[in-house]
Amino acid sequence: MAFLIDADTRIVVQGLTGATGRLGAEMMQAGGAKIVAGVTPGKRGELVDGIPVFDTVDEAVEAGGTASILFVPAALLRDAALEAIEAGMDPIVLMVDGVPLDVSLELVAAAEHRGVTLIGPNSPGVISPGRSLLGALRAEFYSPGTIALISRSGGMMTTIAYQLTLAGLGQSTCVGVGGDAVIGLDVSAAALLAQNDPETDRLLIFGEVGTGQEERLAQLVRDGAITKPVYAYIAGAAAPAGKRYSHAGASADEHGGGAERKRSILRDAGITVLDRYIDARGIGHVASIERGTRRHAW
Amino acid sequence: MRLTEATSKALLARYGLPAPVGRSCESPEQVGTAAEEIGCPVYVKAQIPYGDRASLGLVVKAETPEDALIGAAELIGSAVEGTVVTSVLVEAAIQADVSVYVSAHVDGNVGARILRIGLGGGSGYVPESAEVRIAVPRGGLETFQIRGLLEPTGLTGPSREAVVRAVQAVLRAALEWHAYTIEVNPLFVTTSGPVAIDAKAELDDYSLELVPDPGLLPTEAESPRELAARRFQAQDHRGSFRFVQLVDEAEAPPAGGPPLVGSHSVGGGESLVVFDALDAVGLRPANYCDTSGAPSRAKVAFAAELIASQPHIEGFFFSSCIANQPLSVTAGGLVDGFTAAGWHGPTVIRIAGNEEDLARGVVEEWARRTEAPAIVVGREVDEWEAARLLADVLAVSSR
Repeated sequence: MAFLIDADTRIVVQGLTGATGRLGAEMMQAGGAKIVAGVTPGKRGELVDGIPVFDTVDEAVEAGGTASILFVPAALLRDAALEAIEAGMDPIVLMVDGVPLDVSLELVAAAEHRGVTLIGPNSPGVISPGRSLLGALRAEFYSPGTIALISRSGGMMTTIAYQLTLAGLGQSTCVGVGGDAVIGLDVSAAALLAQNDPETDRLLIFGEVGTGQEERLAQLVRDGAITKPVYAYIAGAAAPAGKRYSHAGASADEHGGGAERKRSILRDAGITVLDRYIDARGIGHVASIERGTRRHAW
Repeated sequence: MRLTEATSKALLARYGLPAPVGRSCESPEQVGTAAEEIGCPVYVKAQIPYGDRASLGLVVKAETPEDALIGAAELIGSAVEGTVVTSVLVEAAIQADVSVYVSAHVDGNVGARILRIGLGGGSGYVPESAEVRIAVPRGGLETFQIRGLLEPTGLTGPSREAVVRAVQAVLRAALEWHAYTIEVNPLFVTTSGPVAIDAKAELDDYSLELVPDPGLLPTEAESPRELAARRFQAQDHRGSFRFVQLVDEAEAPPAGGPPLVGSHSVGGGESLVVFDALDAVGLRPANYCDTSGAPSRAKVAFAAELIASQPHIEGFFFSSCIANQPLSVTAGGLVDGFTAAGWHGPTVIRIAGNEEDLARGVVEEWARRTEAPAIVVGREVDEWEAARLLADVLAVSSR
């Protein structure tokens, strides 16, 4: 069954009629996504590769949509995201990078109030390999299996999934929570979903300096809320503190967030801390990999 | 964008929270004159956007103008973690009976802006000990609500009203300027009202076009290369481009220290991984730079030139995560940037992702043509192995 999305997830693409929306939909369909509707205000009645387009998210819900991804210009993001939240789409993926801080605060609060899962901003999306894809990810680097991969970096999620796939280690669900300082679903909340997924037998985390996400994960492990084996790599041990890098959340300062401290907290909680992300190739073989689905050609 | 104390105070002054009489100076002589005019004792404070400067020795109390001049001479030109002190703030040293800590800080862990108010404040104050801690509603707080919040501090009468005014200023500044942090520490309550003795602010880089008065945004908080990168990104929105200067050109490299290299990556996470890989082989990045999300060739070229033209680097390291962006475009931009900067020094290029074979060919052709000591690898080589290759090339070059 995986978590967040599965083969039955019925996807709405907001902004489907734009070039980015079309490309995203193509990538998602290659990953097995069931796209049931697109939303572009003013374009109801159009078809994009056979997918019907509606004016509003509510209309897309009537067409069967349950989850949404937004490929809309930054200037329209707030309104489109609030519309998806209001309509109860779950989950909602926000890929847009560079969302103003107070817009992020508003969207995260609105999603929490409505009780829906917001992934992002600045998220690459989520993939349950071989079943569904809600994001702009190349499915060929992922393979079905039992490892949950939770990452604060989109590019590194694919990079690590590729290494796992090469090592014969498949994934149940991979989710990029987004690199911003203010996001919806975070590492610890995603880890709880993985804990409750019967098809996931271990968790692999790509963490970074900044925020308190890894610290909260450690607390969940200490509290016994997460009992499955957890492996983690924390990037940025050598990144000078006091700077804000391109992931707005990746900023350690005098109040904490440094990689060494995170590593120590994770280790104390019983989490296996990897020195290099490529060491994830050694976290164990999972027998349920469907090798036949792997493709590496570009 | 982290603001210096002087700029943070200028921001707060717009909302009615004053600072002590003071002046920004760029030379010891200016400091001596300013101290004379302001009247000693004065504080001379290095203007770099770091937290507790007092504990770093970046704040000097001077009893005479001569002492102020000597203190300034020690501060101006010194470097802290790659940032060179180019200006100091000279301020009157004032006294007060009541000292308070006030901050509005976005806490990503709870997804809200948190207001903290605590008695005490000053160097070494622990914000977690503040008597008041509350999530700020989107529209801010009304004056009567702030007054009520101050109950646990025990402040009453004029002191309480002075702090209410200061808190309102901090909140309005934080909300209207889209700040991650605005902190006044300490705030003195004087007979004439609240005075911000020290202040710092960090604004959201993604909201700089939304602030009430962009003209007030300083440029001194950024190095010339950071400023150039930000301005380029403002003109060309295709993909993202972030440059952070880690070691300033004016900072002399320590004798026998790790060689400085230019760092250029595709991906925010990849950039941090690269730092760890460089560190593992004894190399130190002079900068952080990430161009990702399908940037234009011109943008990559600008970034590569910015990095390669740093006079204090000995090598250049490029690495990509498995990226969706067409890497042949990125490779073309790299070569354009190298050419513009006249770069043909020790280089390692690690290309992984879309169009990687094509991209490798573009850079390999540049290396052949210029005879640069360059190694081009793909996803079969990880970041740590690639960093080792650059360390080896540098070792050979230095012989």
